[in-house]
Amino acid sequence: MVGGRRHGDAADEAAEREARRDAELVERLRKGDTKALEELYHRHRERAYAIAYRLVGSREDALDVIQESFIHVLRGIQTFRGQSSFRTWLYRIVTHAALDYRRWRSLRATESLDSERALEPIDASGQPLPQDTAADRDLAAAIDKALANVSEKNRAALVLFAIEGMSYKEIADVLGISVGTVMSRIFNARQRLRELLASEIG
Amino acid sequence: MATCDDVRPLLGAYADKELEALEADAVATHLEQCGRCRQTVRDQQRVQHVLAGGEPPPVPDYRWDEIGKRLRAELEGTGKPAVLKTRPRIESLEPTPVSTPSLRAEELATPFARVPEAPRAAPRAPSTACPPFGGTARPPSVTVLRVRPRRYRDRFGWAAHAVGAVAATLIIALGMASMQMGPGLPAPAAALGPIALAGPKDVAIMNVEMTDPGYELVVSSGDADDVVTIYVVPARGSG
Repeated sequence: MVGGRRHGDAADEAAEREARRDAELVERLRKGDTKALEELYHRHRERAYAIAYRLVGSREDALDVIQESFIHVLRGIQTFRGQSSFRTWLYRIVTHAALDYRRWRSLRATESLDSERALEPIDASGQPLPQDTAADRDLAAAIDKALANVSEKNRAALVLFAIEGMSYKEIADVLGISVGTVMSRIFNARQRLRELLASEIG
Repeated sequence: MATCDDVRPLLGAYADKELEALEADAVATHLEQCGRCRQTVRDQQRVQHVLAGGEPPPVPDYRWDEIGKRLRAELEGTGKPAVLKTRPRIESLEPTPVSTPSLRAEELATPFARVPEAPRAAPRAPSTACPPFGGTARPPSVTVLRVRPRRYRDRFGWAAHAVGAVAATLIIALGMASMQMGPGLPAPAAALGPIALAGPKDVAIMNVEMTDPGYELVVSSGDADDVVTIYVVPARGSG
C-alpha cells in the first residue's frame, strides 16, 4: 500500500555506510570498548535529542531521556540481535523512554518550571542564544505547546517522520505498528496541529 | 471514482509522497475535482513544513559532556549504577518479524505430534471389514479438540454424575458383550488399551471426534480431575 520515502542512490549508499559503521561500533561496544561508545554517542545524540525534545517538550527533560536511553542501550547491547539497524533500535528506545518519561513527569506534576525554561534557550553562561528571532521563538513555542496537546501515540509517529525524516516503514518498525496505522496517526496528528496552530500558520 | 471517504485516510501519505503509484494516481484524480480534499492536503503539507523547520533549542557542549561521562562510568562499572525513571523494555525493542515461523522439519516428521483433523465433507460408510489381529492394527484416528474438567458442580451435579455413570457402564457392557458374542471379532479394543474404567467423574468434553464409524468412544476421568482417558471400543452393530 505504502512505499518507503524515496531516496537517491547516493543517499542510500551513505545510509548503508552509516549502518555498517554502526554495526562495527556495536560489535566493539559489546566487548566493552569505551571509544566505540563515545563514537556511537556522538553520531546519534543530536537526532535522538531532537526526537526526545519534541516528545517531552523540554530541553532538560529531553537530555534526561537521552541519558537514560543510552544507558538502556549499554545494558541491553548484548541482547541486540542486529535484526534492525542500530539507528532504528536506538530511536525505538528513545521514543519509548520519552513516553515513559512524560508519564513519570505527569505523576510528579512538577513540569511547569522546566517547560518555561525550555522555551528560552540559554548557553553555558545563562544568556539567551542570539540566533533566534522573536518570531521564530514564538512559533517554536506555539509548536511545542500544540504538540503537547496531540495524543502521545500520534505525536510519536509524527515526530519520527517530521523531525527525523524516517519513512513510514521505518516508523512502523520503530513503534512496532503497521504501516497503515502509521499513516493514520501522522494524518490525525497533523490535522490536530492544524487546528491548534490556526492562528500561527494561517 | 473514489469518494472523499475512500481517499481521506490516504491524504497524509499522499502529501508525504508515501503512496504507491496506483493509489497516488487515484488520489490525484479525486483531488482534481474535490476542493475540500485539496485543502486537507495543503494543510497537511503546511503543518509538515512548519514542523520540519523548527529546531529544538541547542544543547551546550558541557551538557553533552556530562552525559558522556555518566555513560562511560556506566560502561566501566565505576560509580553507582544509575537509577532510571524509564523502563528498559529491552526484550521488545527490536522489531519482531510479522510472519509466523514455519514448523521445523522434525516437527512435521514426528508421528502423532499432530493429529490431522478428519475431513468433514464426505462421511464414510460404516466399515464392515475387521482390522487384522495383533500389533499391526492402527488405532482409528481420534481428534480431541478440547477437554476440560468441570470445576464447579451445579445444583444437579449429583444427577449428572449418576446419569454419566449409568451411561458409561452401559456402553462398556454392550461393547464387551458384542466382542464376546460376535463370531470372529478380532477385539480391536483389546489391542488399543485398557477397557476397564475407573469410576466416572464429572467432566466436560468438547468436540471429540471419532473418524471411524466402526468404533465408539468411551470417555472417563481417572483419579485426577484434569486427566481424561479415552477408550475406543467397537461400535454396536459393527462386525
